[in-house]
Amino acid sequence: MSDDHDELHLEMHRAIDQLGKYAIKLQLDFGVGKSKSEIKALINEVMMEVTDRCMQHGADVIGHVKSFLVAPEGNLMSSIVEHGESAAIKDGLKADSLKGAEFILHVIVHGIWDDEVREQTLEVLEEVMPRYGVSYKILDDYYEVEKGMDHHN
Amino acid sequence: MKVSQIAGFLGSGKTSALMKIASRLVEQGNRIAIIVNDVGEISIDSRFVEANGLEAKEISGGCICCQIAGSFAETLAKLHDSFNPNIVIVEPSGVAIPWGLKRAAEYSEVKADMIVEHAPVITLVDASRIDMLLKAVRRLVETQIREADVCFVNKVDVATPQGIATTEEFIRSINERAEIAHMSTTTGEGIDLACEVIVNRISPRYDDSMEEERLRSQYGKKGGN
Repeated sequence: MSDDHDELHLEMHRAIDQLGKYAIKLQLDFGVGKSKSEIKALINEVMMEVTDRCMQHGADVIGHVKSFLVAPEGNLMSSIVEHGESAAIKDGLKADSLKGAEFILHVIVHGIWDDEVREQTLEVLEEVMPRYGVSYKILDDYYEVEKGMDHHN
Repeated sequence: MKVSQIAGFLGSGKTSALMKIASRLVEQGNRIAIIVNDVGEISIDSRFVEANGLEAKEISGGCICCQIAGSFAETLAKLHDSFNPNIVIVEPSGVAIPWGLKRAAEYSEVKADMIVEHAPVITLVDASRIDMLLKAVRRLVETQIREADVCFVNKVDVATPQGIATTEEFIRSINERAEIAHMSTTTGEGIDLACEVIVNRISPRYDDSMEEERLRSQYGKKGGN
């Protein structure tokens, strides 16, 4: 490959390092059970709030805020790419209520760094989950892994 | 084996488009494999794809057009030897460079007895937030458009006429040769055209000298800005 290509390639990929990335996997406990509509409202609030907090703390573009909730009864796939918009939720859940589920949240924004994204995300989870009476356990915190994705420096 | 890439910045609608396109191509009798490469280690997009009943291979740990090009080539070779799809649709990370991915795909030819053919590079551009993208990540968006054979102005169902016009003008300003079309995964507009492009058309193989010339003509000077 030529030097010109190397130069462009390097420049292009340095741009990736301007993205703040964070992912977390949770086990959600809905107690005696939560209805599908309540779960969707919870997901929407978490995702909208994370988006809003990131923008308030310096992000200028949302790459994406996506989540994947999975249970034996099916899944809910959700996505936000625009600040102030509700989550688009694709319903693949066959049950009307759930007692628990795994929940993966993945945030990529432009303009702030991974540590800020993580801080805002964790704060939102701590605030919103109790309001819905949902307890949760962190199964995986991908902060170090995601941070390690910076490259081409 | 034909390799098709659907490029575009984060949030441009790649995953939704890929799922619609792949499902349509399967209905048409094609053997489709999907490779997803997220920016981060957690490939949430591959979970989305699999939840839609499609098989996805997830490649993480870096960008498939450079850092983990070897893994990508290996995956293509294994897909050829095991599933033997006639089309592999690749959703690159949102920051991948299309010609880098072409080159990486061609590496697989030394790992399996096959010839890689490229479908035209499809780049999606989100018309609903074009102003914000141009302000914040113009360079990334520009590069993906510059390398495209077909640019789909996406989310035309929610974008304003002004947003659509701005997007088309922007595409034309940096890539005169690209075909421009509209897409909406909500209404289905553009999905049949994307399938036709992937199945019936071919994009040139990676060529260092051709890319060199493109760089010169588009940047106005050798390798610079």
